Amino acid sequence: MRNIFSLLVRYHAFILFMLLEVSSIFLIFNNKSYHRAAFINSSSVISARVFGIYNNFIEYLHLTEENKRLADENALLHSQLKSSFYDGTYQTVTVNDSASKQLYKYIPAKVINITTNKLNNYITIDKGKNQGVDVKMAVIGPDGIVGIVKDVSADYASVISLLHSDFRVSARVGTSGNLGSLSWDGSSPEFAQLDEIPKQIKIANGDKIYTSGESKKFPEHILIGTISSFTPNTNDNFYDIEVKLSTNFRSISYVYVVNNLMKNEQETLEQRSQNDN
Amino acid sequence: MIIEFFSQLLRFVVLVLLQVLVLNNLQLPGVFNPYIYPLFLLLLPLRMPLWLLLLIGFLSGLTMDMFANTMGMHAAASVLLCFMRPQVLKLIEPSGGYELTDKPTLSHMGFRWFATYASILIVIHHLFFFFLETLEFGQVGFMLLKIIISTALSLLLILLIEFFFFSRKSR
Repeated sequence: MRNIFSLLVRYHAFILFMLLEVSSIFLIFNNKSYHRAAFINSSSVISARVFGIYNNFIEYLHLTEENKRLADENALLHSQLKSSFYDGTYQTVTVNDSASKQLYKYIPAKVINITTNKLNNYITIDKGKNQGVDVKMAVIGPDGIVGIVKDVSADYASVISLLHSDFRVSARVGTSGNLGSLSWDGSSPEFAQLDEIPKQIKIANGDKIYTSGESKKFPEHILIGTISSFTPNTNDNFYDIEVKLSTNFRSISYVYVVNNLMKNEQETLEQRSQNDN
Repeated sequence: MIIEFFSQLLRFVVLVLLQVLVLNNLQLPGVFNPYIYPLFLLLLPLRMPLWLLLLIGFLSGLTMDMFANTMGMHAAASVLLCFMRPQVLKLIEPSGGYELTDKPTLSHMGFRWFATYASILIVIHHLFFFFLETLEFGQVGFMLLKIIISTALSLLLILLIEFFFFSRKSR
């Protein structure tokens, strides 16, 4: 017993070293899981507060640019209003539409911290549980998709950016083309990679890539980017496609969190039919 | 003693803020990832017991992890740096040994000594940190480039900061 004790005293630093390393590595692998949130991350009180205060200062530097972007977006939305379409039909039928129900709700949020040059990039936003943000909700920006909420605190949330090794989204070439899977290879914050588009499909540089309705998180037809180059993969039946992202992650400062109001219903249904099999 | 404690704390806060608000936000290509917060660990008192050094390293690493969403990676690298620190200090010990009043700073020990000291420990820290990052991504070529460029950049920044700001105060 005394031997063990003296051994502990003698090697206490080494034992402590091993203990701390093991717990660090435990934390790393615990955080790797896409669905499990780490218990300390950028949505936690201290770091989110620091980012928030800092953001209040530097926000002014980008005001002009941001106003222009918001104005552009407003113009685009205005042009989609019913009142801005010329009604060319002779006879109009008005349908009092009680069949359509709100499916997506958008929560506007301010980006208070964002990285683009890491291998796993995160975004911290200033809306959290109190404002209706919850984990696994989609985040989109004025120009296209941005990421998925990973963890929320009371008033902040940390978002897995599209520029993250775990990020996957089901995507479509054009509005009705083939389905593929979009991910990021870690090299450039301007490009992502689209996979699983079969070689026999005709695609061209400049083709637009949209979200498909397949993913329950993102609404359909949200722009992701355009094809900038593609090569047929020699090993399998698919193309390797480079997609130029429409969102500029280096300058984004406002985003919308998308709340799919019927996601629960869809998920329970799919769960149930899976269990039946 | 209390003054020493608060000056260390102040240095820690300054370096962490500089790291997370400025360096982590540089919109540079991915190979530029300088980390200057280890300077805080380099400048801790020479005779600090190893167990305390390890705990401080772990906590400061966790703080960085909290800001950078890299759960555990900075902590692991910082603990390794702290564990190696006494060995490196012994390796580059001046011929007469360290004096009681010596501090591991540029102004006290001279540029050559400090540059060697910082280089060895920063390389250890960065190698381990980027190694952990590669485990997740596995792009070896890109990572090698990143290690070389980022380590060089970190060292340059650390030497500059130490030269122009921190060591000036103690002169």
